[in-house]
Amino acid sequence: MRLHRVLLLLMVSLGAVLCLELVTGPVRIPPEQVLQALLGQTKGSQEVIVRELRLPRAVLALLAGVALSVSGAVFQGVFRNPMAEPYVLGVASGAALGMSIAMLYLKSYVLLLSFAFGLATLGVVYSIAGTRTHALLLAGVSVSLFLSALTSFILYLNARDAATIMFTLMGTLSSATWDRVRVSLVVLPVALLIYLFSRELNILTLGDENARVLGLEAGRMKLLLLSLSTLLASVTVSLCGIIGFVGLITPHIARLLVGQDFRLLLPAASLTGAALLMLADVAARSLAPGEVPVNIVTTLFGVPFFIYLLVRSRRSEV
Amino acid sequence: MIRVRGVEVWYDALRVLRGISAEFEGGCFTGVLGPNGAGKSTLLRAIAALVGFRGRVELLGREVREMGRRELARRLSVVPQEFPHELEFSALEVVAMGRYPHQPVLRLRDGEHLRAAGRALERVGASELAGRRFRCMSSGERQRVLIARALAQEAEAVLLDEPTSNLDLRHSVEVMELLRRLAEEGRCVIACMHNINLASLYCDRLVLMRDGRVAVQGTPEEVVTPEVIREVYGCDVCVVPHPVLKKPQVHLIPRATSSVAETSRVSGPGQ
Repeated sequence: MRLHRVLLLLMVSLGAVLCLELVTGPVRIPPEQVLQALLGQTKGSQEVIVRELRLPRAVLALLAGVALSVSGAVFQGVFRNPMAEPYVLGVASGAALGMSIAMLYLKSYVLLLSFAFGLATLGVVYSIAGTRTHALLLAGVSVSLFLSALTSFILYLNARDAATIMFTLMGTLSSATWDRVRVSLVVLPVALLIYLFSRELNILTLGDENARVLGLEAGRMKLLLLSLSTLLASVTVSLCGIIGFVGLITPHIARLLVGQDFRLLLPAASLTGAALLMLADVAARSLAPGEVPVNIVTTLFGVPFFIYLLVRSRRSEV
Repeated sequence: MIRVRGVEVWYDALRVLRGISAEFEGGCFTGVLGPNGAGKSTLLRAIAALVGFRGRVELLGREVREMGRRELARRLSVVPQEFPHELEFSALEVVAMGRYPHQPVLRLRDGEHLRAAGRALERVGASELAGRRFRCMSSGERQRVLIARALAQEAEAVLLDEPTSNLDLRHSVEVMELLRRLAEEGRCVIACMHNINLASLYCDRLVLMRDGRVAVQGTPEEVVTPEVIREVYGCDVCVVPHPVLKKPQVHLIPRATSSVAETSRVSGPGQ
């Protein structure tokens, strides 16, 4: 089984990147001591750093990577558009606005509000553009810019309390604590539920009419799957801010590795996404002194890839 | 098996079907003919409950819009004209999607259904395509795979939208013979077509449509006459019996020669 070997290989690479993530950081801790700290065999600052800072960060990176990739894969499948993704379509900007409002004015309901705003944004973009490839991208980008401006505006009005929100919105895993990681655990059941709809996702790639002919009420199923994916994206935004392009790239890599069948594509994309996000995080912490927001790294790699997809789609239209 | 009663379909302000009534029996292969824009595809889409319509469409005595999608898909399968070509899925996977209305939701194991899909591919003589990717196939191979998908649905009625339009001579004949066999097994097979001669050779009944109405319906001998074709298509033709099967076959008379042909039409075919 070649495909299962691919998944195994991805798991091994994820493990390797996980080790890299755990030994990277401003404080140099040799690998064997990291291992000892994980096993609880040492006491003191090293144990605190590894178990209270690096481990939750690694877990958050893993879950955020899974959430971004699964939501990206679902968006691309449901919209039948290789460039669709929660960030490109403005859903993440909506979630960011919701999160900012919740943190500034309500001091709670962060996840709820970012989910609600993400969902509303999706509704707006979809009603503007339908599923036409380029209209969808344009609508997504313009709505996204509008919402970012709104977010900047309310952050400007609340400049005194805005610093942490602004730092989070730049896209970083540095705020990982076990408390926040606990919230992000919601990613797992949601991703699993989406996985159970793999067959429906496969059928939806044939288009609405073909889905209906096969007995699948396409509209309702799309709404359900897009809502679940928006929830995944909103969880990520409310915990780590805007981390762009991971959800765009990983489904493409996964398709190259295992093909179009969502039953294999979703696990492959999840593993790839988790590994890529961790790798980007390692890079973000090694490139410059201190810590570069991980979004900068993912965007620097993601935009050229996005442009490559755009050029390729234009060529296929001619 | 399928009763269509006074069906009207509107696309915005445009009335595409203007009150169609027809019946389609099991064991009968019906060809739906007519000029472009006559509403052939729309009729199929109405029967499959893919467009909203006024009137009634009954499948085995039940209104199609009152059946759930899944139940409808178990009784009625559709081979669409348009299907995404750029699919990485293998033929077997595409056919296996036809098993969807029979599979329980949220269960991903499908060994038994894959075997059923394999049998459906065998039925259309395309077993050798099972592992081939859909995007690497010719139109003829795709058409057979899609018919296999419809078979995998195990539905009593099969609707096909121009099943032979992109096919060469041999593949057209193969598809038509396959559809003929499906009808002989008791299914209700309805295909929209452009090729009158092919339809006349293989179909039991023809429904000729024009401007959203049924112009004529009946056996090929009743429908394919020079008067009817002239009336519906506005073309001068002569109709002669097929040399072997005696089914009526249409021959075009180009306008420039129609005065020459006038005499032969008056004197009638076959003399």
